[in-house]
Parts: sequence; structure tokens; C-alpha cells
Amino acid sequence: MEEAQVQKAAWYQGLTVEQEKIWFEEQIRQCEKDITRFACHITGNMEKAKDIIQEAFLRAYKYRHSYNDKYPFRNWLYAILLNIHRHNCKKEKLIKTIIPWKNSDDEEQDTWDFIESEEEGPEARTLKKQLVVDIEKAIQKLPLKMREVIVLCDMAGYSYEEASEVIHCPLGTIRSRLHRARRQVQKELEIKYGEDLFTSWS
Amino acid sequence: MECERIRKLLSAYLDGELSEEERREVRKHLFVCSRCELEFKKMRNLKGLIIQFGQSFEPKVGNEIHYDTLQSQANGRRLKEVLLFSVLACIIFLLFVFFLPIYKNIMPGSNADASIGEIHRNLTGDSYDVPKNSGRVVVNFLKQVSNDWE
Repeated sequence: MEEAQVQKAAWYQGLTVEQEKIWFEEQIRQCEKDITRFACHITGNMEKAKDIIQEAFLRAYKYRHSYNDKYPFRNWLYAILLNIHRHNCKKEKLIKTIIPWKNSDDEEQDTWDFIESEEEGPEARTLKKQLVVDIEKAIQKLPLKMREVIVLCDMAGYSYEEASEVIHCPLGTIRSRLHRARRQVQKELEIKYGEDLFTSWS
Repeated sequence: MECERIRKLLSAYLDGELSEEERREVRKHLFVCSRCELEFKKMRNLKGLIIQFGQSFEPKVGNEIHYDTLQSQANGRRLKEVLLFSVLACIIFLLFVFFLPIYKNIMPGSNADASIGEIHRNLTGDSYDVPKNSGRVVVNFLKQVSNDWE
């Protein structure tokens, strides 16, 4: 009975609005880097990533009282980010169906810009860096559902259970999506580099 | 057949997300099947590459959180929503006012016992009833409103 009461006590109880702001800011600081990295991999575009991060902060602050501190704050933010991105993707799709002549070349041009910005110049483009760009491209080609899982499990290092909490789907689905995503990335890379890539690389 | 089934489990085996029984099964199979073992090694290297790639990207952070900005953004969005809604409501009202006469004309059983020929004339614009009618409706409507007010 006592435990139930402890669980019911929300994190914001007994805090003033100012204290809540400080708490929120601290949480954001702690996972800011991970959130930015996650948003970049999910969107494949720095500008889009910045937009959805802003939107996610806005939404998280607005609905901060719905956060359950039993779970990590980062997972909650990831879930919000994913929802926003899914919503944006749907909107883009809808616009494309209504205005089919709208050219998406501009979007493709500035994609992967966050990888390019890491490079010092064309001379620094080694095989490994090229490979990094190709891995990102292969991941961006995946359907959103698979991309979410591969970014969460392989890049953010989440277990299947944690990923299922963020994405809100069963463990078996995570498992099969991740398997298919890896196979697809592997195929993409093998087409470009040949099958020796994975046997020679260690 | 067995290979196909095992290959579907390789990814989860690599992540250590299989049950003890499944894990033993996969391990046994990998011991005897060189093709599946090669597949497993490929997948392991791929995972290593993706992890390396994930870690190699260091995002620049340092976004300042301005609560006033967040609040004003929220307010701005609300204002936009209200504006959009009112514009849509106006458009729907105008459409209703101007297209009601046409609708009345083409519906069977209405006052203007419309025949097919009349409908055709109305829709093709051969007849000048449409603008007259719509004008009359607006005038009647305004008269009624002013009467109500008085």
C-alpha cells in the first residue's frame, strides 16, 4: 500500500514553477547530446533535426507533468521526438500526394550535411570516412520503422526491451525489424564494396 | 530450411537477446554450418561498423532553453491555429451562401422545379439565374438579419 502511494507521488509535487524549470533544464542538459545525435540519425539532416528537437523540448515542457519518473527522462524525450518525426513524415507525404510536382531535390541535397561538416576538407576523405557516409546513407534509405530500431539498438545501445518501451511495440517486432534492417544495410554496403568488406574488416 | 530459421535468430543472438534454449540451438548450428558462421561474422562486423559510426559523430550542442521563447512559441502557434480556423470558417460560410441557390435549383422537389435542361443551363452558365438568385438570397438574408435586429 505504501509502495503504491510512493509511486503515485509525482516528481513535481512540492516543487514551485521555478524549481520545475531548473529540474527540466538539468534533465535536458544531461541528455542533450544523445538527443541531438538521435535526431540527426533519424532525420539525416541537421536542420530538420534542430527543428524537431525544438519542437520536442517545447512539447516536453508543456506536458512535463505527464512524465513518469519511473522511466528515464531520455526515453520519454526519444518517444516524443519519434512521434513528432512520424507526424512530420506523414505531413510531407500528404503534401507530396497533393502537390506531386513539388521537387524534393533540395531536401536530398542538404541531407547528410552533419557528416560533411565533420570533415576538414576533401583530402581528409579516407576510405573509413567514405564508409561512414555510406553507412549513414544506407540507414537513411531504410523505412522509418526499421531506422528507429537500428538507431536505438545499435547506435544508442538500447536493449530490445528499452527500445520496445520507446517505440511502443512488442519485443518480437523489435527483433524482426532489427534483423531486417541490418540485412538491408548489409546488402546496400555489399553492393558498393563487395562481399569482402565484412569478412576483411575487423 | 534450418539455416534460414537460424539466420533469422542471428541478429538477436549477436545482441544476447535470445532465450537460453534458442541460444544453445544457434550455437550448435554455428558449430556445424560454416555458411551460417560466415553470415554471423559478417553481421558482427556490420554491427561493429554501425556502432563505430554512431560514436564517431559528435553533435555540437549548447542550445539555451529560453522558457519565455517556448511560451511565446506556444502562444504564437495557438494564434496561428485560431486564425487558420477562422479563415476556414469564413470560406465555408461564403461557399455556403453562394452555392446554396445552385444547390436549390438542381435538387428535385425544390421551388424552382428544375428540369434537366434547366440544370444544364445553370451549370453551364447559359442561364443568368444563378448570379441573380445568389444575389437575391444574400439580399434576403441581410434584410432578415436587419429585421431581426430591429
